[in-house]
Amino acid sequence: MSNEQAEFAEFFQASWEPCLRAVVAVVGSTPRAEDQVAEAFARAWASWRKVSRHPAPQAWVVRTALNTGASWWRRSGRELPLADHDLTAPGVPGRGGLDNTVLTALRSLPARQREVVALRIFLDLDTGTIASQLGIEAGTVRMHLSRAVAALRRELTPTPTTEAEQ
Amino acid sequence: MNVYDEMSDDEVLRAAERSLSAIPMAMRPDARVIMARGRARQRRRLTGIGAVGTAAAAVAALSVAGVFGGGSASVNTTGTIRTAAFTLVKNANGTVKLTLSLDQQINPATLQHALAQDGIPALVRINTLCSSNPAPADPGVISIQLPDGSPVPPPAPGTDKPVPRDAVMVINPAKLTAGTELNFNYLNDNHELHFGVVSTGSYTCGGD
Repeated sequence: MSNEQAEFAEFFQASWEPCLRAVVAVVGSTPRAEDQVAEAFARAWASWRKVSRHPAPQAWVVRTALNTGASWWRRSGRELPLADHDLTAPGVPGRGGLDNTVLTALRSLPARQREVVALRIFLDLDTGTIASQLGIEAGTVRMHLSRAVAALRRELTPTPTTEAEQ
Repeated sequence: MNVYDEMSDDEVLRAAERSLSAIPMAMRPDARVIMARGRARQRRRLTGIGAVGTAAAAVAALSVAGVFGGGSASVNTTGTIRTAAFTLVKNANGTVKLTLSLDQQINPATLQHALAQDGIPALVRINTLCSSNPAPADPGVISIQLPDGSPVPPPAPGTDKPVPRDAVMVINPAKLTAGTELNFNYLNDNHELHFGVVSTGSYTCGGD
């Protein structure tokens, strides 16, 4: 294995899971995210000299996965899977005892807010890097993040029940 | 007031992270598979650029011919996707040759995506068997050949027989009827591949 191959393999090993989880957070479907992330890593290897010098190569993979995903599902002639593929109804325990309340709350966010949240929590990117990856202003990132957190908190807060209901 | 009201912004994000981190993920593919896919992508790009007769196209054609031995030297191919677990060669007549190395771990997403790139809608699953009820008619979308070129009779309707090891599957997507897709089920324990046709969006898989 050449140095370049070893370097890519190390990057791939360390980055597969956080990148996949970030894409799952945005697209909502694990199988679809796996396809898109695998394709993005293949593209990363095809352009490794460029990607390895990228300031945030994991973010490059996530952006590539998100950008390419929709287009090749369309080209393949297959119906785009439902984005809430992995979710059961709120309050119903998901596979492995997942907290579907949180997942459903995430699902309810606009796509851009999910992207910002995903890049922050899984790739641990700062506001400036997220801004440059998404091609938006840092202030816009802060706004999306703030709205996303507010919406998550709101979604996660149960509606108060009256005594009659209790 | 509940627990989320008292959380800081960071804590709300961490709660989201914990929930997403609990989603079970498929095993990470082998890096070599991803690199092979990247190289295939480069080759396709080069072949496309050099369609007017560059050396790159000639090299690609020669390497494709080598995949299936002497018998396939005359096959006019338009693209190859090669990984450790499978090789997919698209022929100029629209058919696609799929060769599987059943000893290798197959990544279902990679194979499904590769097939989709060649215009073949397919459902690829691991360690489960999928079917539709009623089962759609299989108009002979897949024909199977042994490495020596001899044909393998298709399994009788209603029977479920694995593909012989080292067999070459020739897929003719034009024979797929509307509303159906191919289904490949790979059983890790036995290193067996089963295939069939299912109704798109209307099938069940064992264990689902």
